[in-house]
Amino acid sequence: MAQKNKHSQLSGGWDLSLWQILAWALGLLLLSPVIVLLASLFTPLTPNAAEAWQQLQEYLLEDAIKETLILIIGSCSLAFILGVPAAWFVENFHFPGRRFLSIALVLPLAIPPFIAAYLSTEAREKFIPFLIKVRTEQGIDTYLLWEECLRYGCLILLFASVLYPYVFLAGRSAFSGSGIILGEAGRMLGRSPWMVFWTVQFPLARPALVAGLFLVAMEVLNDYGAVKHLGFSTLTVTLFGTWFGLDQIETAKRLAGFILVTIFLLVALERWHRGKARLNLHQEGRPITPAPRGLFVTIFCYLSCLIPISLGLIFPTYSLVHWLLEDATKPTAESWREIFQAAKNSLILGLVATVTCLVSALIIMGIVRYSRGKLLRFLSHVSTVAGYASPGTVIALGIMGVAVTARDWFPAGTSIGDFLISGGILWLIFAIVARYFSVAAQMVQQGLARQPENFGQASRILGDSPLQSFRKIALPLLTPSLLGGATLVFVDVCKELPLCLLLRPFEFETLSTLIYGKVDQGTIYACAMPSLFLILLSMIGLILVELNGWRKLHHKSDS
Amino acid sequence: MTRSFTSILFALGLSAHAAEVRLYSERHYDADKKVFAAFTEKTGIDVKVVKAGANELIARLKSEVNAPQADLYITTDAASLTKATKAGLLTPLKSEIINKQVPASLRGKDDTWAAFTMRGRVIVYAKDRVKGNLPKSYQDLASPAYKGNILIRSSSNKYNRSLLASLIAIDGKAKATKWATGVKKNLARPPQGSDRDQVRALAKGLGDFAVVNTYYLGLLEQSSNEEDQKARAAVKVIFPTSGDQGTHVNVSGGGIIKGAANQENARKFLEFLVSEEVQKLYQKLTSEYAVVPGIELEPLQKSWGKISPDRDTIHVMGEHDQEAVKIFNFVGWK
Repeated sequence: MAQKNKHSQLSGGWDLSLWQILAWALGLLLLSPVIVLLASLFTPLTPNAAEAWQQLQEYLLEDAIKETLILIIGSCSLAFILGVPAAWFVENFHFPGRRFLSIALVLPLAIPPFIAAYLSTEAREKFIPFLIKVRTEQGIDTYLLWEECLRYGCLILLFASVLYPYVFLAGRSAFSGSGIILGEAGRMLGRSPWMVFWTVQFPLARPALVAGLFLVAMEVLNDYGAVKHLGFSTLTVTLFGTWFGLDQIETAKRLAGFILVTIFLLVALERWHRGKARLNLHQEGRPITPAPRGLFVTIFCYLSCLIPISLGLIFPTYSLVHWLLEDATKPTAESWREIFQAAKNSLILGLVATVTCLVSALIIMGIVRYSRGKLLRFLSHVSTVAGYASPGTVIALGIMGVAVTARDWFPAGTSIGDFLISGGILWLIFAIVARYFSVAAQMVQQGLARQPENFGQASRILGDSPLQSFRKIALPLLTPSLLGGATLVFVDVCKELPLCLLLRPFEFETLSTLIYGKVDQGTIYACAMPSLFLILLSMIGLILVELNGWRKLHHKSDS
Repeated sequence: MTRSFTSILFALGLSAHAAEVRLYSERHYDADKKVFAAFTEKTGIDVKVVKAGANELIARLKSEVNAPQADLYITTDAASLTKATKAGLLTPLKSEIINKQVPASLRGKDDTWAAFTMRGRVIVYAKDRVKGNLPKSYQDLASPAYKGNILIRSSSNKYNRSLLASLIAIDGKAKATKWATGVKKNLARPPQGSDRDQVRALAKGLGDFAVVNTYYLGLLEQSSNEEDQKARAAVKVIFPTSGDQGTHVNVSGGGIIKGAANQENARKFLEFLVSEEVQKLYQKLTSEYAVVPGIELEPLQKSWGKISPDRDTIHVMGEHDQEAVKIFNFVGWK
C-alpha cells in the first residue's frame, strides 16, 4: 500500500514559474464565469433586484429546494440501485454476454433527459384513466396526491434510467481494480460473495460511487427541459424564472451564487469525510473472475444488467423508432440536409471542445503535480468541481458578464474588439470548455493519482526534464483516463442545450438545439429523427471507448 | 494583424456583408424557413437566424448594445417587443408599406415594431361531455362551477403571462389576483406539458375545459399521430371575451435593432412578411391569423368560429408583464 506523496521530491531545481503562471492563467480563465457569479454574492442588489430576491424567498425558494432535493435524492437512490449491482456482477462474475451487456449498460448516457421526458409522454398518458378513477371514487385530494406521486416517480425513474451509467462506470472501475484483489482475499478467507461485497468491496468503492452519484445529482440539478415538461419548479427552473420571468438578472446571479456555494460546501464535506482514506493498490495481472454459481445467481446477474438496459436504452430507442415509423412526417430532402448539418456541427463542436478540455486539464493537472504551490493545488481542486456544479444557464450568465467586460476593454473598431464581438462561436466554445473542463480535469486527476510517483522519479534520475518525463511516462499511462474523460466530455457536449441556445452564432444549429426547436414549435414528433442522430453520435463515441477499454482491461482474463 | 483577424472572421462566416439580414428570432418554424427562402429568391438578400427565447435574446441584445450583431428582433409576444423598446434596443421602422398594410393597433406605439401574425388564446371543451354552462369569458374560468375541471399549462409560459397581463389591464390588479387564485383552484392537475398535452389530457377525460393557443389547434389538425387526431376530434372551440374586450390575442412581430448594420434589408424583410402573399401563406401553414385586413380565413380557421380580437391590450401587456409574474408566484400557480 503506497501512500501518495504530497510532493515529488525531485520537483525542485527546475524553474516552474512560467508553467505555474500558465496554469494560473488558464485556471482563472476557465473559472472566470464562476468567479463573476461568486462576486455577485458580495455586490449589493438594486431595489428592484432586492424586491425580486424577497419575492423569491417568500414564495418560491422553499418549494424549489424541496422539489430539487426530492428529485436529487430519489434519482441518486434509484441510479444507485440500477448501477451498482450491474457493475458488481459484471466485474465479479463471468457469464455469457457479459462483455456486450457491460457496453450496453453505458449507452443510456447518450440519451439526454429532456428527450427521455418527451418520449415518456404516451407512457404517462396511460395513467390518466387510473387518475380519473381515483378522482371520482376517492375525491380530489387523494387524486392530487396520487398525481404528484406518479409525476415524481415518473421523473425520478426517467432520470435514473438515463443517468445511472455514471454510477455504473464508477462502480465498474472501483470493483475492477483493488476491489477485486481484496475481494479475492476475502473469498479465500471464507467470506461469501455478498459478505465480501458489503464488508470489503463496497467500502473501498465508496469514494468512486460518491463521485458517480455526484455527477447524477449535478445532471438532475442542471436539467431544465425534463423538469419543466413535467411541471416541476426546481432551483434551475426558478433561476430561469428569476432571470426571464421577473427579469432580474442580478437576483438570478445571486441565487446561482448561493447554489454554487452550497455545492462547494457539500463537496468539501465529502472530501474531508473521505479524508486520507485513500488507497493506492497497484494491481498486477487480473484475478480469475468466477462463473456465477447456481441458477439464482445467474438469474440475478442477467436481471441486474437487463433491467437498467431496458429502461435506459431499449425503451427510449423503441419509442423513438415507433415515432419515426408511425407519427413523424416523412423527412424531406430539406430536413435531411438540416439534420446532417446539425450533426456535423455537433460533431465538430464536440471534438473541438473535448480536445480543448483535455489539453487544458493536462496542462493544469500536470503542472500541479510537479509544483509545490498550495494555492495552485487548491485552484485545481476547485476547477474539478466548479464548472460542472454550475447550471449551463449560469455559466452562460457568467460568460456574458466576461464578454461585456472584455468588450469594454477592447472597444469596437480595434481588431481585437471586433474579434471579441463577432467571435460568437469562440464564446460558445469558451463556455462549453468552462462548463465541462471539470469532467476532463477529474479524470486526469484520478489518472495521475493512480500513477506511482517513482516511475516519474526514475525517469528524472535518468536525466529527463519534467516535461520529458511527463510526456514519456505520465502521458502514456494516462491514456485510459484521457479516453474516458474525452468520451464523457464529448457526450455531454453533444447533449448540451442551454449554452448552445444562448451563445451560438447565426445559422448554427446543433442536434440538441434542432430538437429543442422542433419541440418548441409544437411539432414534437419531428424531433424523432434528430434525436436518433444525437443518440447515435454519442453512442458511437461511447462504444469506441468501451471496446478499447475492454480490450485493454480484460484481454488477459477473456482470452 | 487586422487582415488575419478579418480572414478568421470571414472563415467563421461572422462578418457583415451587404446582402443579408440577421434575425434574432423566437420563431424558426418550418413555415418561416419557406418564407425566408422566398424572400431570398425575390431580393437576393440572405436571411440568417439565431433562434432562442424572447428574453434570452433581449439579454443578448443588451450585451451587444454597442455593436449589434443582429438586424431584426422577432418574437411571438408583444410584451417582449415592448420590453425591447423600453430598453432602447429598437429603432423606428419608418416604412410606408408597413403603415399601409398593418393596422395601427397592431404596430408599436413608437413605431418600433409591427406585427405580422396573430394568435388567439381560446378555450376548448369536450364536446361529448359538456352540455350547457359554457364559459363565455376568461373571467368565467375562475367560477367555482368549474372546480377540478380546467387544464392549462404553467404560468412561466408567455401566453399565460400575457393573458394575465391583459386581465390586469382590463380589471385591475386586485381582480386579476382573485382570478388567478380562482383558476388555480379549478385546475384539473398541476400545470404541466404544452398546449397540445392539455388537449390530449382533455380528450382522455382529465378535465372538460382547456385553455390553448389557436396555433396548437392547427398543429393537432396537421398531425398524423393517432392520439392527436382523437384529441382534435373530441373538442370544440370557444372564443372567450374579457368583459367589453374581445378575445385575447398575442402577436408575432418584429422590430429593427438600433445601430444594426443592415437596417434597410431588415425593413424590406418586414415589409415582405406583411405582403398579402406571405400573409396568406402563414394562415395556411401555421393557422395563425393574418394581420393585414381583408385576407380570407382558411377553412380550418373558419371552422373554429368568428374571432373578434382584443387589440387594445396588446400595447399594455408589456407594462403589466412583471406584475403578472408576481401574481402567479403569489397565488402559487406554477
